[in-house]
Amino acid sequence: MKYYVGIDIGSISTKGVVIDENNKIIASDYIWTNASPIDASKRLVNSLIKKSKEEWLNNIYGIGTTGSARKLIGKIIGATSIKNEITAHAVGTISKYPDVSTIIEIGGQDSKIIIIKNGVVIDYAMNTLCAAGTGAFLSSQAKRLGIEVKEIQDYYKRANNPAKIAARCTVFAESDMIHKAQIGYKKEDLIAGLCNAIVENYTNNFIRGRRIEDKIVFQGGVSRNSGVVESFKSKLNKEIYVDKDSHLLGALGVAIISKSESKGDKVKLNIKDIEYKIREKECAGCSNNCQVVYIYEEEKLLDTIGNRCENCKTNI
Amino acid sequence: MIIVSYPNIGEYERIVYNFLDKIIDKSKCKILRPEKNNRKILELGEENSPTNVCTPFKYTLGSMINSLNKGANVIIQIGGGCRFGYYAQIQEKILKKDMGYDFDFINLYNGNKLEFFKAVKKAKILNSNLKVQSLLKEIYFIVKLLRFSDNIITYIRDNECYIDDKEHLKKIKNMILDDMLKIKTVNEISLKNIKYKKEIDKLINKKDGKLKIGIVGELYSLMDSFSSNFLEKDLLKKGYKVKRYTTASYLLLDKNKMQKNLLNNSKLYLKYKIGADGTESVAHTLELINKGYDGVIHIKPFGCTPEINAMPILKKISDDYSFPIMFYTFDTLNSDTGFQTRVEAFIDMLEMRKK
Repeated sequence: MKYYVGIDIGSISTKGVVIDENNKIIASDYIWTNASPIDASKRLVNSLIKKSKEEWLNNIYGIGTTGSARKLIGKIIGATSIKNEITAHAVGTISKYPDVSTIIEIGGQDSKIIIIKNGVVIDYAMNTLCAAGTGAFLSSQAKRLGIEVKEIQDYYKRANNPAKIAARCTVFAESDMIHKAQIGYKKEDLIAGLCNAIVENYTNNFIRGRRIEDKIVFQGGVSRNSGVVESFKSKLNKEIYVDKDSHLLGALGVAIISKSESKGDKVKLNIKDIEYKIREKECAGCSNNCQVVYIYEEEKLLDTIGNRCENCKTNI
Repeated sequence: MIIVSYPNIGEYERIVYNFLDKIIDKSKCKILRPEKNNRKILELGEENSPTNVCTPFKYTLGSMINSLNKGANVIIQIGGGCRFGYYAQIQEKILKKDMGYDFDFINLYNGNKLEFFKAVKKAKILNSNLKVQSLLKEIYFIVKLLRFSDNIITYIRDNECYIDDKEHLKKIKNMILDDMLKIKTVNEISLKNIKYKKEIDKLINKKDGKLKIGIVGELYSLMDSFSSNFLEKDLLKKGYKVKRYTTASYLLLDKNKMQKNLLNNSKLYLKYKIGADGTESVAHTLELINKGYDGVIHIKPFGCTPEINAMPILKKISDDYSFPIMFYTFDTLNSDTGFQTRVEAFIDMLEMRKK
C-alpha cells in the first residue's frame, strides 16, 4: 500500500493528515501555529511520526503542503506538491462529497466561497485586504471576554436575545460589543451576536449576487464552532453539512493532489531538528527588485522564495 | 547646469529619454533617467501622499522625489485620464509647498488637454534655441518609435507561449529595450521592425492549446510590472498565452478614435463612457470572450474609480457568459503571498474547467 501526507499550514493552526491509496485518513493532527510555521511544522511532523505505524512511515510516495506558509514549509520539508489552499480545499471536499456545489470555508485569517458544478470548480472568491469576519476575530474577542474559543458554542446555545453587532468591519464590531456590554447585555447574548456577525459578514461579502445551491459544506477551523454553524443554517435556511474532519479537508486535499502528482518515487517524511533562519531582502541583482525570502538551514542557504531569477542566490 | 527628470512607468522612460536627448541643449542640460519602480520609490511616495490616493500617484510622486534627491531641478509630468487629470497639479504642490523642493515643473496636460504651446514655451528651459519645426520633427520620430516598440513588444507577448528558446527571446527583448534608447532615425525604425519580426517568427515553433488569459484594468498597474506584482511576467513564464490591450501608444494615439467603436461593441452593457479605462475593461473583456479566451484577470489599484465602475458590469458579463473573471486590487502591500494564492487558484480553476 502507498501512503501520502498532506500538511496545511494556516495562519492560526497547522493540520496534517496521512492517507492511504483510497483517500482514507489513517492519522491526523491539529495544532496551533502560534505565528511560527516552522516550529509548528516540526511539532506536527514529529507527532505524526510518533502516531505512525512502521508500515506507512516507510511507504510514503508523496508529501503535499498547502496554506499560507506552503512554500516555506514545502521547501524545508522537501514537499513533492505545493498547492494553494483554494484548490486543496476543493479537491479535499469533492473527494468526500462528490455532489457538493457550495463550499463555505472560514479559516483563521481568510474566508472563501467555492462554487462547484459537476465536480469542477467554476467560481470562487476570497476575502481581500482585510480579515474581518474570520476565526482570528472570534478568538481575539473570546480572549477579551475571558472565555476559551471552544466555549463559544456553549454560550451560543444559552443565548435568548442575541445582541445586534455590526458586521462590516472588525474594529466597528468590537466597539459595538463594548457598547452592548456596557449597557448590560449578557455574555451569551454578546457571543451569539458575534457568531451572527461572522455569518452576516460572510453573506455580505460572498453570497450577494451568487446562487447558493445544495449541497452546502462548511469547513475550516470556524466550522468546528457549532454556534456559527447554527447561525448559518438560520440565515441561509438550508441544510449545512459539516464533516467530522472539516478542519482537515485542506490537508486531505493536498495529500490527494500529491497522490495524483506523484512520480512513483518513495519520499521520506522528516524535518530536521535544526534551526532554520529566514531573512527577507530586496534583491539588487537585476532591475526586477524582487522581495526575496532566503531560507537558511543553519548557515547554509537552503532555498529562496519570491525570486524571479537565480541572480539573488549569488548576490546576497 | 539643468538636470531634467520625469516619473517612470514600465519601460517607457527609455523612449522619453530618447526624445529628450534629441531636443536638449547638451552644453547646459543633462538628463537624469528615473529608476525603475522599487520598494524605496513606493515608500517615498507613500510617506508624502494623501493616504487614500491610488498607488500610481504614490509611485510617480516617489519617482520624482527620488530624482529630486539625486539632483534633478526640472521635472516633466504628464497628466490626463481620470483623476490623473489633477495629479500633476497636486504633486507639484506636494513637492514644492509641503516638501520645499525648488525646481521647475513642466506639466504637459491640463485636465485632459495637451497644452502644446505652453509646453513648447516651457521646453525652452531645456534648450533656448529650440524651434517649433524641429520639435515637431522629433515628436513625429518619437511617435514612430513608440508605435514600433509597442507593436513589437505586443507581438512578442502574443507569441511568447509558442516559443521554446526563451534565452534567445530574452536576447531579442534586451536588444529592443536597447534600441528604445538608441535608435535615432525613422529609417532605422522600419529596418529594425522587419529584422525583429523575422527573428521572432523563426523562433515560433508550436501552436498548441495553452490556457489563454486576458489582463484588463487600470493602465498603470497593467503597464508597470512592479506595481502589479509582475503578474504578466509570471503568467508568461508559466507558459500561458497572455493578452493585454493597454499600451502607451494605445492610450496616447488610438484611444480617442477607438472609444465610439468600443462603446458600440459593448452596447448591451454600456450606454456611456465610464471614465479612464473603464470602458476598455468592459469592451476588451467582451472581445476576449469572443476570441475564445479561458479567463480574464482584472487588476486595479485601491480606490481607482473608473475601474470600480467597470467591476459590477464585468461581474454581470461573467454571469451572463459563465466566463471566469478574477478581480484583484493592489495597494502598497509588501507581501504578495495572498495575490499568488489567488492567481494560482484561478489558473487551477481555468485548467479544471478546460478539462
